[in-house]
Order: sequence, then C-alpha cells, then structure tokens
Amino acid sequence: MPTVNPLTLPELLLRIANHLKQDEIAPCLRVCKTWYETLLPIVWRNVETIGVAMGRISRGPSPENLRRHCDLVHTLSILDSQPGRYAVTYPKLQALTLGSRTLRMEDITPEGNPTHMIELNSSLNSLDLRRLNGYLLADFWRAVSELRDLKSLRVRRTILNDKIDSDEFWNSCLNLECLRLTRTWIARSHGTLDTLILPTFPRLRMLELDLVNRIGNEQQLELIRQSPQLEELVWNIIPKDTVLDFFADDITQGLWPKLERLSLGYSNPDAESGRIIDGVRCLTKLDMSCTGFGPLCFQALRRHFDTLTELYLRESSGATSEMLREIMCSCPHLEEFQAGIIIAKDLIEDRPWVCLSMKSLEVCFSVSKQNQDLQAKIFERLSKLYQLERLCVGGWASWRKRTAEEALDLRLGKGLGLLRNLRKMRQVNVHNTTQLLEENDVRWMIANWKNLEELRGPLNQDSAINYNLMNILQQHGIQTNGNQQNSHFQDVVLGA
Amino acid sequence: MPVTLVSLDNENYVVDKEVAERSILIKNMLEDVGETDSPIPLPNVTSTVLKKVIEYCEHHRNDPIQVPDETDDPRKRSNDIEEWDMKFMQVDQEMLFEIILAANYLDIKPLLDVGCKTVANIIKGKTPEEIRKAFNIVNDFTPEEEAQIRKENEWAEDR
Repeated sequence: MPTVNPLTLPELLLRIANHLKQDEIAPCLRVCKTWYETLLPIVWRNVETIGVAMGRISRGPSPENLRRHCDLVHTLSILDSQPGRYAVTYPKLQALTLGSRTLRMEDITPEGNPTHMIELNSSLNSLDLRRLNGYLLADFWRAVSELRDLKSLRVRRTILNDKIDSDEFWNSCLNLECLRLTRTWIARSHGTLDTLILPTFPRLRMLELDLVNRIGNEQQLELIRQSPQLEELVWNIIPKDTVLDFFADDITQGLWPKLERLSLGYSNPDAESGRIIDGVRCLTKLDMSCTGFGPLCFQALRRHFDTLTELYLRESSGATSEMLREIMCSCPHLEEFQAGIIIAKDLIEDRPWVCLSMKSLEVCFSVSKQNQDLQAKIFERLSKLYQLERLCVGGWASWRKRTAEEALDLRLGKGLGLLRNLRKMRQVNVHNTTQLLEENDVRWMIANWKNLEELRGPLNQDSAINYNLMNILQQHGIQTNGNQQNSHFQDVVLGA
Repeated sequence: MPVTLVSLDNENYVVDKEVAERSILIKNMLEDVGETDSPIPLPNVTSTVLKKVIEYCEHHRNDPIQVPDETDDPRKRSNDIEEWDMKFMQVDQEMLFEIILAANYLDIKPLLDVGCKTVANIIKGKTPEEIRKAFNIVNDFTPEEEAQIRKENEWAEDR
C-alpha cells in the first residue's frame, strides 16, 4: 500500500528534530524545501556568536546574516568587543548575553556600544553581561530600566566606577525577579546604598552576591533584607565581622519565609553557618563549598534531610566521612551531591543508601589497597542509583592528591560490570584518581552507557595507552581531556 | 475485559483493555462509549502494522503512563532507546514509517518517540545527499539555492 512519507509532515519532522542537536539539524536544511521551511526556525532559535576582535576567533553568523534571520532568534549570545554591530530588533528575542574576552579602551567605539541594542529589543526578559566595563554607563542602565519585561539580570566581571552609573544600575534592578552579581565592583552610589534610603526589591526571588566589591558586607546584608520574597540566595563573602551573626538572627526571625535554596561560599565559621541553616524553614539546596562546614552545621542540617535535593560540600574538610555516609543513608530526595571522601570500609556495615534519585554524584570513595574486595561492594551500592547521569570518582577534597590511588578503580576486573544498568550515565570524571583502564574497559563503557557524552581525566598512567583510549572515545563522539565540548567553549575562552 | 480492534483490511484483534488503552485515541473512545462489546474500527491502520503495534503495547502494558510533554526536552538524546524497543524497531523502512504514522494516529506517545528517535539516529552524521538517499526524498532545490542555504547556515554545522 502506498503510504505517506512521515518525513514530509512538518509535525513529525519537528518531533524527530527534538532528538537532534543544532549541528545535526543544520545539514538537514539542504535536504528539500519542506525540511528547510520546517527546520530553519529551530536552527536559528538559539544563536551564539564568537567574534573576538583582532580577527582571532570568529564563529557564528555574521551581523548581516543574523540580521536576515532576526525574526527567528529567541536567545542570542554575542561575544564581541563591538556588540553594537549586531543592533537590530529581534522581534522574538527573550534572552541576550553580551560579553567580551577582554575589553580594552581602544576597542570601545560608538558603533560598538550596546545601548542601542537594548533600546531596540523591548521583548527581552533576561540579560547577561560580562566584561563590558567601558560600555556599561548610565545611558546603558537607563535603557535597561525601560525593559518592561526584564526579569533576570546577571552581571559578571564588571566594574562600575562612577557613582552615577551605579545609581542607574540599581534603578534598573527594582523590578527584577533574579539578580546575579559575580566578581563585580559597584561604586558606592549617591542615592541608594550610601544613605538610609534603600531601594526595595519586592519581586526578587533569586539573588546572587558573589564576591561583590566596594559594597561592604553590612550593606550587602541590607540589600538581602530589602528582598523579602527571596527563594534562593547565593552569598559569597569574605567574613571579617559579625555580619553572618546578624544574618542568622534575621533568618531565625523569619525575614525570608520562602527561602529554600542557600549558598554560602568561602570560609564561613561553623557556628554562624549552623545557626543560619537551623534558621531556614525548609532547605532544598545547600552549597557550602570551601567553607568551615563542621559538626554544628551538620547537626542543623539533619532537620532538612527529608527535603534536600542538592548538597554541595566541595573542599570543605570539616565534612567528615561519617557525615557524608549519614547523608547518603538519610536524604531520600538528594539528586546532586558533591563532597570529599567517604572511607569505604566504614560503609559496608552501614544502612542502605536511600538517595535513589541521585543524578550527580561527585564523592571520592576511598578504598585501601589492602582491601580490594571493598571495590565490588561500592560498585554494588552504586549500581542501585539508576538515575545517575554524572559520576566523579575523585570527589572534591583539598587533600585528594594523597588519596588518588585509593579512589574507585573503574576496571571490569574490579567490578565495573556491576554498573551495567546505569543507563542514564552521561558524564564520568576520573580526575585526581589513578586509573589503569584498558581498551576493553572503555569499550564496555561505550557499549553499555549509550548516553555517555564525556569521560574526562587521565584514563591510564601510561601516556601511550591513555592517548589510544582517548582516540577510541572520540571516534564514538565522546568528549575526553583531549577535546573541549563546544557548548563550554565560550566559558573556556572567556572565563566564567 | 477484552476489546476488539478492527484493522483497515477487516482483521479482528482481541486484546486486553489495558493493552488497547496504551493508545490514547482508543482510551478516549472507550471512555466516550462506556462499557461496550462492539468492535473498534481503525480505518487508518493495516493488519500488518496493527499486529506490530499490539506487540509493542503488550510488552509495555505495565509501563507508567507518561506525563504529557514531559519528554519534549530538546536535550533528550536520541540514542537512549531501550534494548527491547531497539530490537522491535529493527524493521524495513516502510514498516518504520508505518509504525510512526500509526503511533501518531493512535496517539501512543512512547512508541512515536521511539520511532522518531530511530529516524533521528539514521539522520545523524549524514550529508544532505545521504539523507535524501536514505529516505527517498527528492531534492527540489537548484544548486544555487542549496549553496546559498549552506552559506547562511554553515555556522550552525561548524560547532
């Protein structure tokens, strides 16, 4: 019976394209007219350009080409020291990233100024800016203030030197739902932070203050106090005063009733942090990487075991093996866990793990050389984590060099085969561990983990074998230390 | 309670209700008419395809019902196909297309997804000419048009 070819039906073609990436869809445009018309909007939906000045790197469509397809673009990321060159109206544009690698004074030109780009795109609801110091002046922020739908603003590695600029900057933040400031210097402004007249942020649900400069810790706390609707706070400061004590008082008094995701970076002392954790009504996410997380924090955290989904304790040496074990046996909803070392031999008599929804596990299980059968027992426990997508066996401990040889050995002979059913596995990382993988181990991973995208870290101490293994992986489209994933390219080029 | 399904070429298939209800179309029909013994005509599906679809539904009779559109995440990778499904999909291309069309008509989303993933896997890594050849598609572009499209979209291929 003659049938319709489903590949000529746009609805079905779009469903198929759902399972392809942008670079896999692009060649399909040339197949036939129906495919072209159906798929063109998908190819142009998210556009990233990298056009660093001085003719160094140039990727992505040219400004002229982009202009011709401007009505299809929903998210646009322009990495160019002359972002103004791309200034046209993109009718459907929602999210815009503007950034440069380095912006020197001689790169700054009137045509390169992004202010007009903002003025032309009133549909924007999300804006991300990095390293654009010389362009982000009062005029620019006035244009941002006019964006009625803007909900999210992120500023990274930027210096606002002038008080007028920072005044206008704060003005543009008043209606935001999400504000993220990373390594940014903001001059004390005239009207706001310096005086008692503070702006309030009635809609702000997410606030990140990550090593913000020129604004003192107390003033940062004032900012947080002015955001009563906060659901998520990322606050990385170098504590040198009693500000965290005040913060703990506020939190205990219920100043932020909706707060449930909290990140407190850097060396915050255990006692204050413990009071803060205790004061939060209900925690789903806690990041205390590089901090003084210790027994008091842990004691306070117990109350949140039932609700925690994400817990990050990278480089926090106060989080002991016993604590980490108890967490895995007590947090049924934990999906992401980054921490230091769990001593495997203590684990064996432990209760079973309850964290069966775990998606990302970055913990070092330390197995002593004398007790290799422990290996299989750890693999056995891991094999129950069916949702696991990311496994980093080196963990995140500041003393990890010492334990490199004691980390999990990912060879079939050591029990790797037990992980056969972790079908969702996408990324495996063996950094800071000593591995002796051979071809059959790697081929097993390729055959059994169909979704594997990355296997990073030294796979074998012998560099010739390591090189051979990386080649095999790359032939199967799996990223290794030898190549960078494109989607991370910008971050690599530009710094986070 | 068993349900009788009738194919285009008038073959009757008796299946359990829970198997038939893998098809949202049939499920809605059954809900509309209530308890009934009368056979359900499926005028868009031939017996060879219907047999195959029933085989799929039998195997997946106890799967949890998918939340609508939960799987429409564009990051979803196409090589994530279960072993049984992979074997099930090892059919000639005409049958593959028939299964996709039937799954679309009968509204069996997991089967439609598996079919689309299978096609996506065939597309991956192929040139436009190879894709046309694989699926028997006629090139209706002039060489100039094709070159122009290539030029404008090369940036997206070169990632």
